[in-house]
Amino acid sequence: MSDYDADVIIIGSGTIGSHVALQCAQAGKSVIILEAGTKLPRWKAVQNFHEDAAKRNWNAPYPRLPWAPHSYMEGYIEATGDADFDYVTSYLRVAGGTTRHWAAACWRLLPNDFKLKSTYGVGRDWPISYDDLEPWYVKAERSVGVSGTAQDDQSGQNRGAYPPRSQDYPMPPEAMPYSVQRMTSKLTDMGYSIAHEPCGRASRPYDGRPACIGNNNCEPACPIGAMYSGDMTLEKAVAAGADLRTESVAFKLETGEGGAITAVHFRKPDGSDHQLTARRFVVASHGLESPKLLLMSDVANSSDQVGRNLMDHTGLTFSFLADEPLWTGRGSVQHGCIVNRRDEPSRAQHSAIRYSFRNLVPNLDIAPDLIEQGLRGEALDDAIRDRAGRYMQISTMSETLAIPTNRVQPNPDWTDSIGLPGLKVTYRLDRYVRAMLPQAQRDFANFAQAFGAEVLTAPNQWRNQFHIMGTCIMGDDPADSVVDKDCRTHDHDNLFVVTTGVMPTSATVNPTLTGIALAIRAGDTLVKEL
Amino acid sequence: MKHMRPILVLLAALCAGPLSAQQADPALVAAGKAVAVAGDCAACHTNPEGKGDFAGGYGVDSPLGTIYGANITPSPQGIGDWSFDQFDTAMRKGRAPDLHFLYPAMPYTAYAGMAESDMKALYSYLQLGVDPSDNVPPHTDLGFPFSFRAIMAGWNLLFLNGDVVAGANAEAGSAARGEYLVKTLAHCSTCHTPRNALMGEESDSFLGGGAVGEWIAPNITAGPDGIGDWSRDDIARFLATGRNAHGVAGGEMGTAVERSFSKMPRSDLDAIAAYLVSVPAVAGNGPVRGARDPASIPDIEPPLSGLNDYIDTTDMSGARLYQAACATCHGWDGMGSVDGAHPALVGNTAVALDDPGNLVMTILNGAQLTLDPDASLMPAFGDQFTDAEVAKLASYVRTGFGAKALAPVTQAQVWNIRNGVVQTGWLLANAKALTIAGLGLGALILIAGLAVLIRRRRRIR
Amino acid sequence: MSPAHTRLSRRQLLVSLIAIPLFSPRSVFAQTAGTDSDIARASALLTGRSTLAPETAMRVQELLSAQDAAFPSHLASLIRALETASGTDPQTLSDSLSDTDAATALAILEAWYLGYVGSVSTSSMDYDGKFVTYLQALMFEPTGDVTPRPAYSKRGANYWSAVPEGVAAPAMADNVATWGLAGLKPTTSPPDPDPAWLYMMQGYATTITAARAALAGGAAPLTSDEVNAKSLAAAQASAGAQTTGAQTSDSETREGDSK
Repeated sequence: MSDYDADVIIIGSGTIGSHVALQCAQAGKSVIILEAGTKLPRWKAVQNFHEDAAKRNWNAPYPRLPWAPHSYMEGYIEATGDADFDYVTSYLRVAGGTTRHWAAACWRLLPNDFKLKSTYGVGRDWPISYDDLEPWYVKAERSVGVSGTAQDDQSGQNRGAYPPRSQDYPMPPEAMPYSVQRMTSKLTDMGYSIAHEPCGRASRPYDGRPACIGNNNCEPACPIGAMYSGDMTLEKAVAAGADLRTESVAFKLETGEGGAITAVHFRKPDGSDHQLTARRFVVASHGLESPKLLLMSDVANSSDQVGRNLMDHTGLTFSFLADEPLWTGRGSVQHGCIVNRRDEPSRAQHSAIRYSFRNLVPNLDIAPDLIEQGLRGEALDDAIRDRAGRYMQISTMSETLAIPTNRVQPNPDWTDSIGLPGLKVTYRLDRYVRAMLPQAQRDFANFAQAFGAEVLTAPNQWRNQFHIMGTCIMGDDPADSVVDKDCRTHDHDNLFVVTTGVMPTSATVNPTLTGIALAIRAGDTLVKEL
Repeated sequence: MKHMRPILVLLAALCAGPLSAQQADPALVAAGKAVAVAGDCAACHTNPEGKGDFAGGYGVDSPLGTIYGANITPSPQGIGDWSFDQFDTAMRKGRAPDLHFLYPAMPYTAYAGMAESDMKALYSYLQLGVDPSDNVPPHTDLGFPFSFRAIMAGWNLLFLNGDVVAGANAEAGSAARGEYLVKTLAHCSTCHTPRNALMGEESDSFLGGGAVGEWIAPNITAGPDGIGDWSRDDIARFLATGRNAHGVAGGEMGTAVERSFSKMPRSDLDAIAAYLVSVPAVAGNGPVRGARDPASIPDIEPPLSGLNDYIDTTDMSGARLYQAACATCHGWDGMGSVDGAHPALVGNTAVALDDPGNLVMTILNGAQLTLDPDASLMPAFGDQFTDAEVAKLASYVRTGFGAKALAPVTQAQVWNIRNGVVQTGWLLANAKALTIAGLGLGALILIAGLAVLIRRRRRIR
Repeated sequence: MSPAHTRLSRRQLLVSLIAIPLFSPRSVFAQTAGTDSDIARASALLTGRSTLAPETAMRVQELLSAQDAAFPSHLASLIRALETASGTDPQTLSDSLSDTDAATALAILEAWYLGYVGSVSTSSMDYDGKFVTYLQALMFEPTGDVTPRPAYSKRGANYWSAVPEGVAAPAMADNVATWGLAGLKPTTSPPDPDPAWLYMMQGYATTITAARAALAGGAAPLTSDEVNAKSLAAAQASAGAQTTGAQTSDSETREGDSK
């Protein structure tokens, strides 16, 4: 018998942890997955959505566990920052992780996103290049089931089909909604480049999943499983032999001789403590929870960079009524975006920007005001129809830089039901981000003019996009980074950290696909070593 | 094309093989391919995970053991050495050249009625249009008494009718051509005609409905218990795509549509439809009609005094389970989508059959036919629901959208269906003892029963 | 630790965290569930709909009563006012109500249109909103032929590329709906914006008419430097700690919405 409880213990059952688990389990390695939350079948999340009052609260349909609080539990995250910005983020602690309620955008970074410092003189460079990661992007796209077109310039810089790809997407894009046709028709004329948003939604039957039928409920729960979510990979990992242990909150990694991690300690909802040993440990617990565990354990932090360099795509949202019916809400919640500003020379001065068209059924956004205004009966119904038809919302994904003072730490002043700390976040928007405001206002002014907009929400309020990066930053130099190019901690040979938190640059795109590509790559490394 | 190469090679080396020049005619080989499609040979003789088309090795679970499809490629390990007469005997009489008897999983009772021209074409195709494979499928060993294949001789005497069915060359799309296809190549009656006490097809209940493992093969005669309300176009569309307004093909029918019917010429599907609407109505084995008991909207939203539990599901009613998992596509009222993308459950055959097998199997495994890339599929719910939840859900669907009179589904029934426990009955369960006691007749009945029992696939993990 | 123990412990913890005062005793209202109850009649008059489920009307009543013990008496006052007013048009009826009755009517109407009572949050679990109905939430009815009630699409894949019902689509290029390089791509760079539209985007006007009037009166959009300076000043205003869950205020921009 082995001296260890498992070859590898993975902390976190989200899509990233599940991908590492699947790789290892398929290779015949013994795998234990620790998950703080519970299992919840997809249909139960749908029922919870149906029966909760807060339909626009993406966390509401998921378990509210006092021993594994999620980001919307009162007091769990205490944030300090700028006066004009509230740090809010949304993530779940549930089997399958936060992709249970994502919108499934599956972007690759651009080659320049890996070398921001050397190209534009700001931020950091990755220790690996786009070309290094490309084969794993292919694997990630196949595993997730991404719909997209290889024949597009995702950089918006007239580069032809870009970024370069060795394989096409596994599925073609879904049809373009009428609203995006109208945006394309008018904004292309003005000089804007509209791209399909690659997404983890089946555009045709794929891997036992039906094609998307436009339930418009990606967030908080795709009711038919057309959209990929982490529990799908988790189920495959379990079927391949991985041992999933839910309601098990890891709180300490124990270090032994030579700096190796020897055990993980975890607590059950009843307060009892347990421990497990393994040859390798993988922390895959989300960009805020992973550094929390490392800091609580005082491991992997000789650089003092754990929890620092917190990034998001903090940006702006513009909602308006167009002078013609567009009818957002037909299709999924996102289809297209504007990519001109993703990789321009101005990245040396301010954030790169991507403008994303939201495609929500807007009735919930417009009806309360109309009722309050005193409209009743047919007048109310007519106004709802008129405004729902003309509603449009455009958000920016704005690049942020890795700044050590933007950080997350355990917060001992707040504890959950099993005595574990909350989170303390310090996050300020620097000049680099704020200096994108004039550019964004000019672009928004053009969009507004094209559609004769009547403003509902002007784009002058910062908000997060809930994309956590930087907190376990990757680099070649152990003095200023936490993990190396393989997601192995500089300080502990047998400890890997796999989360979007390792990303040294944020770029302008949802980081999950990059995280999954890194996870599959780390899984390959683990399989070779074990 | 993949299959042209061996044709050319063999045309050049004609004299070496058992084939005449006439049999090597490429047009005949092509015609034979169509016959192989219509006969759905690949369903059992091609292993999707295996060693090539028709190379055998596809294992089908039966209560008695696994039966493996034979290699029927033109190799010494297949049927490469068979003469036409030997092939013809196997196809029509269930006897291979070494005189061993085939298990009636091979529907030779239907193929016995094939026209000689089709038989010759099929032979030419299998000898010339298929890549030879030396795959040796695993040996099928069902244990005593079923390993004693000679018992089939007696059964064949009783139930094998060697008459050729007319209509093979009737006008395209005609009912006569349809009758030929239904009775021979498509072997519809193998599943859709009930069996008598000796497991022979009941000739006076032709196409009146049968059973295949957990699945019910419904009554497809042209009466109220059958598909009397299906138009010819409905039938042809079902065969071509596996779906129409009345239902979706699941289980073996799904496989048959996928591999066979969907690849047949439209004129043959029209012919089958033309014939089926003329089949005399047989009573029984059809969907139960009658008053329904659907839930109202207040019934499917949480009870007035109830606080939704975000994790626990034990108290959820069937109506609320339906609302959570099914209503998105099938509508809260069971009426399907407005554009026909997803089938209505009201009026759906599988929902209203007395036996819940088809409904439960569909919930567990989904409806995964993807013949039309733009069509939707139904995902499997086997991993998402407990047996108790499936039972509640299926019971609600039956009474809410089928008929009030349908019996509830029990948790035990779901467990049996999920785990492939077929109601095999006393005779089969006691076959060995009976045979030892000299009741040979019992054994031959039972082995014939394999024709219907073995065609059961497990798709549930 | 036994599974049973886990379960009990979890249940207790859950209840301690999310238990919300349950509805007032059902017996008070249960016998009045019917289309002739006050709440059912008020709901029908206020919405102009005669097919509302009486069970759901009772839910509205119980939830609003749990929120405000005076609701039953407010309802009695409201139904008297509604049934003594002339006409049946919901707008006319509503406009004739006293402030108190109008507030009661608003609460009932919001429950029916939005499908919940109380307040909800997009970023915190600390809200008191209670579910009333989703499948009957009236706000989706006026658009039901065009857009789905989210999670309940009634159509198949890709229906959304068609021109929506009732829309006269402007002429568009043949390849407008084609994704990628074969679709429409720009041939110029985006222009400098019109000052009036830029002024609007800076939050100083909600309509172009108002923006043009302001510019005509001597106002001007901020320069880039001024935008940056204003932004940095706002960051410093009175930096302090907040807790997740604080809702972002957008009252500045929403004001112009109620024109």
